[in-house]
Amino acid sequence: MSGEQGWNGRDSLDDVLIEQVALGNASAFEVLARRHLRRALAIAQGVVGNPSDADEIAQEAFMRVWENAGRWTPGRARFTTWLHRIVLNLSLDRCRKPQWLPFDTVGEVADDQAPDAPEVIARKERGVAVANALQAIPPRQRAAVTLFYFEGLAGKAAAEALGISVAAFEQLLLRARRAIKAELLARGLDPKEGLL
Amino acid sequence: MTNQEFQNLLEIYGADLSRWPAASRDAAAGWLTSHPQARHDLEREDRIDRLLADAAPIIDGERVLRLAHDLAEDVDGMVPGGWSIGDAIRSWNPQGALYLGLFVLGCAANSILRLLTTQTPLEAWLATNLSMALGG
Repeated sequence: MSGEQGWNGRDSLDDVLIEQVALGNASAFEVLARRHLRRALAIAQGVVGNPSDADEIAQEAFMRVWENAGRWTPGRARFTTWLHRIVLNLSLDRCRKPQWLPFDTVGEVADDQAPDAPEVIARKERGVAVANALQAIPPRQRAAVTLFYFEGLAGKAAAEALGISVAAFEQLLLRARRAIKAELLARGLDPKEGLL
Repeated sequence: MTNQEFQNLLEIYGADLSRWPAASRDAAAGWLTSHPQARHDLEREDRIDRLLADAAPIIDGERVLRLAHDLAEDVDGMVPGGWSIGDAIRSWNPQGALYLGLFVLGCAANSILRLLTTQTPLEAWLATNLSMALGG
């Protein structure tokens, strides 16, 4: 995936759809939602950590798109940048709420009754370590990881969605990646060795 | 490219050079060719990349379709657009409007009484009862 992506047909279609949404076309809105909901859900879930919160956030984000579609200027910016920024802001707001429960409980390695092969157990253990590390890092770092590593956005697009410079985005990624490595080491999983 | 620059970009963007900033890719590929140790570092970071890929949320297609359908139902019949006074008036609850009207009427009556008398009935009542309670 390249770092720089030009304006393309997908963006043009989004512009046409959003113009229809601004006129109150619910069918166009449903098409727009189907095109972008998966990623909106993935971003929200990557940041807040649980599916039910992610569903609420994605729905709220699309309702804001519906309400503000008339203010959208086609061709000025990508629709996805706007949508991702709404989703990220709602997700980060959710993380700030005192009653927010970060992640679904991560299952312990020994939960399964079935006798697993050592490699399956080791894989689960690594999964738990990564999940714990993601839970422990600040939400903005988690957002950076979600956009770049999980969703495959280019660094520039991810930085725009977060509303920060590319240099600041790189720092978020760097700190997140180091924190994940430290968590793996704390669990006796040295990334320098063949842990996969 | 220096080793420090290579290591820094590797730690930020991971082992897939196609995901690095375009301006650094060729230099990084050249560095890899001329420094065997860099290949080892790349493999180390590739392990982290794969761990992260495994941790990505999986979004079920049915979930997406269900939510898209729910959203379309939610907006069906709604007029998009921001808040306006017209919308606010249309969405007012009649009971709330009645209470607001009574409040405005009360304020107007109080103002008229103030103009006509030196003390409103409420002030007179407060003056009597408070002075009694305080032993006046």
